Amino acid sequence: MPKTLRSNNSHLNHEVAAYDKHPHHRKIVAGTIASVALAGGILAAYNHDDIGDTLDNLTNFTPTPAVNTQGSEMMIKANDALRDFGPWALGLGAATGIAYTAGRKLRPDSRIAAAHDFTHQTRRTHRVLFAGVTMGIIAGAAGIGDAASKGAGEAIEITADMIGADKDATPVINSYAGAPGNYMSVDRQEVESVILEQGGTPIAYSHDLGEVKNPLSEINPSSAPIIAVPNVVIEQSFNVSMPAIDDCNDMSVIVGEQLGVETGGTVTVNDKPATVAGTVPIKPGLDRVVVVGSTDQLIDSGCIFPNKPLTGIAALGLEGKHKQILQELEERFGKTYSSRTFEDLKEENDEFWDRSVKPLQMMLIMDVMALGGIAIGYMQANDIRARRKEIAMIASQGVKKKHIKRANNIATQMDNLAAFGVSIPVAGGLAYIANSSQFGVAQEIDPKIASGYLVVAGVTALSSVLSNRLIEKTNVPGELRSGI
Amino acid sequence: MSKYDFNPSDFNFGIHATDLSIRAKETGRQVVKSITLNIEQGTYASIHGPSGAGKTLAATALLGTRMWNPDLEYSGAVGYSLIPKNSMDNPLPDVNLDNVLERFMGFVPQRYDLLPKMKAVDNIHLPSRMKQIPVDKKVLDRVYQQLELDDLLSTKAGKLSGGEQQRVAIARAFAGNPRAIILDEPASALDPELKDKTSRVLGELVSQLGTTIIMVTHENLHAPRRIEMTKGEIIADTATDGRHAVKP
Repeated sequence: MPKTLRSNNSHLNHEVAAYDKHPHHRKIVAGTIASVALAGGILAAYNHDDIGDTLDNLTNFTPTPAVNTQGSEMMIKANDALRDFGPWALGLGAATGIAYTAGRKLRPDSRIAAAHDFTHQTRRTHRVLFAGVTMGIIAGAAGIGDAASKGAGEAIEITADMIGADKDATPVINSYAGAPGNYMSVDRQEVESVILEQGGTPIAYSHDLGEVKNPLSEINPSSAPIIAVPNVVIEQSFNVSMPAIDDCNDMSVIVGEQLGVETGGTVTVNDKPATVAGTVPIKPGLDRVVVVGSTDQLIDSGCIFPNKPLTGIAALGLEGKHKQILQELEERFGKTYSSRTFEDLKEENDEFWDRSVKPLQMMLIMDVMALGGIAIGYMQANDIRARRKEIAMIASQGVKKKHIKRANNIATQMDNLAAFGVSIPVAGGLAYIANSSQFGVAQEIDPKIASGYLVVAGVTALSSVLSNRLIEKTNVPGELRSGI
Repeated sequence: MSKYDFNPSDFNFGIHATDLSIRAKETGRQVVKSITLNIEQGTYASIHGPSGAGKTLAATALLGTRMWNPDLEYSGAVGYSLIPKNSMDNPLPDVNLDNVLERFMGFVPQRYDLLPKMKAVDNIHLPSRMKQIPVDKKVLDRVYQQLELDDLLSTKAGKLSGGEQQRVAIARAFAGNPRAIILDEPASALDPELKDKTSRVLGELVSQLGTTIIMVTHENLHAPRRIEMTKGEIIADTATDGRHAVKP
């Protein structure tokens, strides 16, 4: 086959190249890659299982750019624009579609103009780029939603690490079962006495939501998970001391570095000033910055949460002894507590945030998907209408319509695969911007990028069915003679 | 024998229309009225007539159902004969009528319908590639030579003149070495000198390759067999080579 046939970027030429010499081979390749992408998407969706984890480990990476205000500003502007113009874009898209359809009905020969000079032949590049960018945005939006809910469990991970607990075995005594993500108080004295009697070391901690601000910045996070652990734990983990204090103006905290305040600087926690004793590169979810302080200052000294009941008490040294601790608490105090591991708490917390954070993100994803779907469907349908003359020309040369349809399908698949390649840097770029923002997002580039591919491939597959119907219905002699 | 594992040159291909009538569904107007035609292998014929005589409809009806207009109603019969030149060596191919037509018949539309962003050579090869049929290089070389296309092959079709596009479209029809080619107004966009040349070159190709040529035209193009149509009827079928009967 002359090489020149592939050097041209017309869609038809592309179809022929796809169909031409090794149609079955190309079909197999296209089908295999599409299947792998599909399988990747499904596995990634169920990545709680081993195969999903393995795939995750093989393919995931998290861009970790330096945090700066530019990323935040870009995201704020993009978010504002989406909120402001999203409904307009949807409305105008629908209106354009209706106007176009009505226009075609009223002027049935208008499409001939485009068909007769074959101006549609360059559209393949546009379609691939457009589909690729749409895939990337969908994947990026899905990734932000995912990162937001995943990051919400960071506070629990941090606490377990600071305490030195075995995440899968150390019992954590919480309030009664059934209220994950919304922990009730525990009676510190009662629980600590039981843990001590059984030979363990009790570490009481508190998680709460509050507000941390960099007084010198215009952009501040909307909320902060405030973690309080005993000063002894702070000393071990961060090599700084936060003992009980008489004057709350002497309070110090450790904050997430994306707040942009260096050690020694001042922040406000729930509007009270605190000195930054250190920073941590932790990203606890969308628009949140972590604050770590001591129970001695935040609770016992009454600086932030005076007289606050504790969230949980970890029983170091009593790994796996959940039943014994709970039984003793019930027998001695008549209290029904719950004992979980940090891993259990994290999973429950993730699920809680999945439901409370994701719906908001999903709205964005759904908007993007709807817009992308409408646009791709419109583009495909428009394109195939303009291509009727081309189809007629090929059919007039004795080529069966079923061959044209097959070529069309293969070309569509190959377009999708090319677009998939385009989508990866787009999704990566979005993740990079999100991760460089001050919003506490650590978005991974992972097989969930397949979600964008699946949406676009699904829409183009439907368009392909529509295209095939149009190919079948093309009136070959009528099309060849029209407009002469 | 597989779908295309045969050489069309090993067969004589005939086209036969019996009482072929075509009626517009919407208006009920009879545009072709009960015509009967027998076209044997190697015929070089032209169908003449004024605009609206039904000559293009009649000719394209011979191409088979792919060129039948769904807005029209066809009646009568269109049949094809496929006779091996040497029945001992060339058994009939085990293929259906569609396969026969796509292999044995070519078509040159009035506007040539080339893809302007593809090179001439790619336009010529396109249908054969789509049909996955082998191109007879010797035949194509002879066609290129007769049509003086060698220097134009790597030029994009959109940059060719009307006459050059016409020659490319004719070469495209010959690419799969069909046994019959129908040309719809092949010279309508050409100057008088090129019209004569087209007619002469097609005659050369008929004599060299034995391909049947049916040319629909309202011009004064010369072919050995001249079929005159008016108001949907054949009013004359004359042969200058003595091979064809004259139908009043």
